[in-house]
Amino acid sequence: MLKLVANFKTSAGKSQTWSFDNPTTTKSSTEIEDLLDRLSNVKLFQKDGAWLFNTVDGANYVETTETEIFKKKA
Amino acid sequence: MKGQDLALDHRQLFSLKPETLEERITWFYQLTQNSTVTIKYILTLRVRYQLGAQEFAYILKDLVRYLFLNTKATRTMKRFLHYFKDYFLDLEWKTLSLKLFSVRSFGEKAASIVHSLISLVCPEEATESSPPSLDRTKSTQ
Repeated sequence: MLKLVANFKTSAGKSQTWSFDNPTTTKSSTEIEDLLDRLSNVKLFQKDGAWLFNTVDGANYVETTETEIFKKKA
Repeated sequence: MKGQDLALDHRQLFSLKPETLEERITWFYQLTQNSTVTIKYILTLRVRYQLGAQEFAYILKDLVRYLFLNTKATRTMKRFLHYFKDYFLDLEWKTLSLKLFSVRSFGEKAASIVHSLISLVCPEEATESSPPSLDRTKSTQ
C-alpha cells in the first residue's frame, strides 16, 4: 500500500509524523508542499497547548509490500 | 453537550466517512455557531480531497456557501476564502470578493504599505507620524 508520510514540527519543537493512505501520485511536489503547508496554516489541532502541525519539514511516499507467510485453515 | 465534546481531531478528519463528517461538522456549527473552526474543519477536508480522497469533492458545499454568503465573515474565513472558489458561481464569487475585500480595506492595506516604504527611504518622516515614545515624554518634563 502507498502512503504519504509527512514530517511536521509542533510549536513546542517536537517532531510530529503524519500519514495519509492511498494518496494521489498525480500532484507535483510543489502542490503536495502547498497542501501540507495549508494543514499547518489552519492551526486547528492542539495537544498539551502546542500546535501539532506547526511547520512542515518534508514528505515522502512510502510503499509497503505485504507478503503472506502463512494462513491457518478455518 | 460541551463544545469540546463536539470538536474533531485530525485523526477523525482524516479517517471518518464523508457522511459522518458532514453530520458531525453540521452539528458542531449548529450547536457552537463557531464559523471559524467550522471553515477550518472543511478546509482540512479539502486537503484530504486534494490528496486523493475523491469522495470529499464539494464536501459541505451548502454549509460553506451559507457561512460566506449569509453570516459575517471572520478574519480567518476571509483568509481562507480563496480555497473555496469552486464552491461559488462566477458572479457570486465576484460579489463575495467585493463584499469581503472592500475598497476601504484595500485602501488601508495600501496606506500601510506606502507608510512602510516611506520608513525605509526616509525614516525620520515615518517616525514623525508615530506617537511619541515614553523616553521623549520624559525628556520634556
